[in-house]
Amino acid sequence: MKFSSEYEGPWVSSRPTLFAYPTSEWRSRRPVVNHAICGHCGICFFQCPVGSIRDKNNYCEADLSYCKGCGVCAAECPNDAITMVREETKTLSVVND
Amino acid sequence: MTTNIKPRVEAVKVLDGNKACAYGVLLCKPDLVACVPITPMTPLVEAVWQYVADGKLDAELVEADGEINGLSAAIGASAAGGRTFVGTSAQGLAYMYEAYLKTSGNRLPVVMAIASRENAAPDGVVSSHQDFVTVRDAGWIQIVCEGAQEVLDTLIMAYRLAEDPEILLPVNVCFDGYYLSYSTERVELPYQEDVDAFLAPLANARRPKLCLEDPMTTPTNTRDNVFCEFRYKHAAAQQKAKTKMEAIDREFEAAFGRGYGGVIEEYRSADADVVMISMGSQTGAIREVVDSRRDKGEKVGLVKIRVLRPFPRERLLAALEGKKAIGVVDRDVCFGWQSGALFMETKAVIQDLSQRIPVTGFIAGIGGTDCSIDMVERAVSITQLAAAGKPHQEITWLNIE
Repeated sequence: MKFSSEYEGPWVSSRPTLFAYPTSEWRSRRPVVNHAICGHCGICFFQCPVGSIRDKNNYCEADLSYCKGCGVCAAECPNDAITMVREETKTLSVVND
Repeated sequence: MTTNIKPRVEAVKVLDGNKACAYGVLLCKPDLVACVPITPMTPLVEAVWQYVADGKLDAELVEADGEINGLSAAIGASAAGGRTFVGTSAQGLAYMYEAYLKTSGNRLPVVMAIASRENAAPDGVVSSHQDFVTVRDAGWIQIVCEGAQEVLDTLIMAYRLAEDPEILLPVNVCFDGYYLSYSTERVELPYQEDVDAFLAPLANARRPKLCLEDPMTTPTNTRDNVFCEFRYKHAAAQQKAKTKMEAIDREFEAAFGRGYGGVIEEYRSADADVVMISMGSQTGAIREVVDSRRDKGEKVGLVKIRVLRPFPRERLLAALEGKKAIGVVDRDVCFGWQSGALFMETKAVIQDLSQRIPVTGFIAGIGGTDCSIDMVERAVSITQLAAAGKPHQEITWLNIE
C-alpha cells in the first residue's frame, strides 16, 4: 500500500495547500495599492481572508494569483490607500515569493 | 503496555448512569465540554456544569444553541489539540449529523456519551438503541454499556482509545436512556491520580493540530486517490481499534480490578448449545434467564456485544463456533430487514462458521418498554426450537406477537 500523505486524516501544512492552485479566476475587481500613502501598518495583511497580502518591505500588496477581489483590504485600510478596480482584461500573475 | 496502578476504590456511591458518566468526565479532565441538555441525559449536563461551577473541573463550557454547534465547537477544540466531551441523545444526535460525519472523517478524537433514545417519529421520548444504531456506519467507534459502573469505566477507556495515535477516532459511549441514565446502581469511584496515571501515556501521543507555530489545514479539499487513501486509513484504524480495545480493557482491569471482556463479553457460552446475543442494559435480563436455564441443565449462554463499531467479527466468530443456534435480542430496528441491526450483522458473521447454524431474531424493549424476563424466556425457547431443527419463527417482535 502506497500512501501520499504522512497523516492519518485530511491534514496538511497550510502553506502549500492554500497556495497550491491559482484561485483568482473569478475575481471581478482587484485591489490597487497607492504606494505613496500606504502606511505599511499590516492591517490588510491580517484581514485578508485567504492570506494573499505580501509584505513588500515598505508597503503591502496583494498577490493577484490568489486574491479573489473581496475588497476586505480596501475596506479595512486606515489610510484609504487601496482602491478596488474593475477587472477588464485579466491575466494571472505568477507566484513571486 | 501496563501501568503500575494497583486496584483500589476511593468511594462507593449510588449513582445513576448520567451521574456515573459525569463523574467519568470529571476524572478525564476535558478541556472543553459542549452540550445541549436533552432528555434523558439532562442530569449529565447539569452535573458536569456543577463540577465546573464548584471549581472541580477546569473546562471551557459551551452552552451551544443547537447540537450541531455543540459538536462543531468540540471539533474545533479537538483540532486545536484539546480533549473534548459531548453528550447527547436521539434528536440531538440527529441534529448534529453533519458535524458527526466530519468528526470521524477528520479523525478527531472527540468522546461523546449517548444516552440512547428512540428516534422520532413516531414522537416518543422513550428508550431504545435506535439513535446510535442508526448512525453506526458514520465512522465513529461505538461502545455500548450494560450498567452505570461500566459507563464510568468505559468513558475513561474511551479517551485512551480515541486519542491513541494509531486510532485517532471519535468514540461514542452509549448507554440506554432511562433504563441506565435514570436508574441508580452501586458504583465504585476510582482515585483521580489513578485515572491520571491510566491516561498518562496520551500526554506523549502526538497528533496534528491547529497552532500558530506550524499552521495546518483541516479538512483539506480532498478528492480522487488521496480521498481514497484517507478513507482506507479510516477503515484500517477502525479495524485496529478492536485489538487496541482488547489491550486497553485488559490494562484497565489490571489497574482498576474491573474488566469487560474487550470487544465482546462471553457469559457461560463456552459449552453452550444455544447462545443469545445482546448489547446494552437488556443484557442483564438475559443473564438472569441464562442462569435459570443453566439451573435446569439447559446449555444456554450469552455473548454481549460491547463494541458495535468496529464490529467484533473475529471474536464473535470464535465464540459462536460449534453452537447449535443463536438468538439475537435487539432493542432497535434495522429498516429493510424487518429485524434488528445485531441480527443482520450476526447473519453476516456466521457465514464464516464451519457449519451452517440457524439465527433467530427478536425485537424487544423498543418504544420505552422493558425487555422483561418473560420476553427473554420466550426468545430462548424459540431459539431452542431452532437448535432442535423444529419449525420456528425467524424474527419475533416480542412486544406485539
